[in-house]
Amino acid sequence: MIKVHCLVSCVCETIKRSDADHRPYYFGVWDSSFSLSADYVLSHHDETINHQEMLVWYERLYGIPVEEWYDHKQSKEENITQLIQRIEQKNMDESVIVMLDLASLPERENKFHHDVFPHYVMLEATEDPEIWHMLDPDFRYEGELERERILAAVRHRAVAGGFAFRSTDVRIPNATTVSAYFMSCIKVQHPLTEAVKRVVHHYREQPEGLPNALKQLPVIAIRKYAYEHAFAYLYEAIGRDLQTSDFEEWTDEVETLVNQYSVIQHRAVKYAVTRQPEVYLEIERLIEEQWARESTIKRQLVDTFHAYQRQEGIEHETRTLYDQLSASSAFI
Amino acid sequence: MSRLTIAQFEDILTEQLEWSSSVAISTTDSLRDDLGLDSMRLIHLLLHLELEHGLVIPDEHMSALPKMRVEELMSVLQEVIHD
Repeated sequence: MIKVHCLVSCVCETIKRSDADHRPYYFGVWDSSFSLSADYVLSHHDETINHQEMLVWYERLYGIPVEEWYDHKQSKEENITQLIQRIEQKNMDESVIVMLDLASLPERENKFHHDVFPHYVMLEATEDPEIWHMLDPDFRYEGELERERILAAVRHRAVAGGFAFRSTDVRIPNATTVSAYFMSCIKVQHPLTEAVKRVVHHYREQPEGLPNALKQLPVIAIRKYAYEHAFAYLYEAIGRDLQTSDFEEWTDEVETLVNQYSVIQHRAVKYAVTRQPEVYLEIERLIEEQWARESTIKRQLVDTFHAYQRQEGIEHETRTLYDQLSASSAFI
Repeated sequence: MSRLTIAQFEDILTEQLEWSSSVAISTTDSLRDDLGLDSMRLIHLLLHLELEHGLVIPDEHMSALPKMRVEELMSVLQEVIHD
């Protein structure tokens, strides 16, 4: 299963060890928050991004409240003291998540080779007080590292954040809650493609800033794989076989959606280097194709969701969704 | 260009991408994990191959590029040269 969002991967680790299905929690991750700065630079993270709504839904779905232990009003050192205390006093059923700069830990894989890479991981103490255990579900890493090196990565000025939760009783979400979560997530617009369009337009006359502005596009683009989790969950829920149905056609379409962002990034750098007008026009065409491709994916997902609602007898709850997205399904 | 050799490839990385290493490139090196080429450096590599050597790598290979080994990139380039 492809991992798409580090915080989601952390909180889903507990769900995967239970009888509950973690895949509904990926609803909406395809459009989850990113940053577009005042000078039109895309980032997968910035300090204003708030995960609160996402974590509220985690509790609604699985019955697990998530506490934000990191206090942004306190200093970094005060928060590190809090982290150490939490790790040292942690119970077996408690999970402690912290944001660190992955690039500060060169012994760990830094998949995207960015100079700074804000990333959420889970930590535990070991028998050796100088060594901590790190679980990084997003990058499928689990291992032991020197405590001080981990804390140095937490101290990086570009990172700040941490959560904790207990996982004694994981609730299996009912169809009504899953349905409500889906409806809260689905957007008619495609924020990432819209942002890329704005960035490209902004740098049209002075494209030398374009490569840096779109540097993090591949990191954000992998969130689109969340569509695959949603398709798999909903198809299985309504009895469509993943092998014999059109499931793979849709996952291929999602794959193309993700990959085409890399093509757009390539053309953007090419435009910055060559300033050829035909390259700019090609970028515009690629962006329009992305918009249409994602609309088609969302439409199929909504149609599948309606079939799910029909099966569960909760079709009366489509009104909110209908207000947002007029799906092709005859049902609504 | 009839063929891109490992030495030429290493020269491109050194001169165009300001890449350096104390050990020689191996054909089995992964572009991302062993040579440390992030997506932006890989794009600059592709653009150099395209604009300076006329070697246009098809878009369908672009997303697989970070995970490619040097020998796989060489193989793709050979296909491009023969086309």
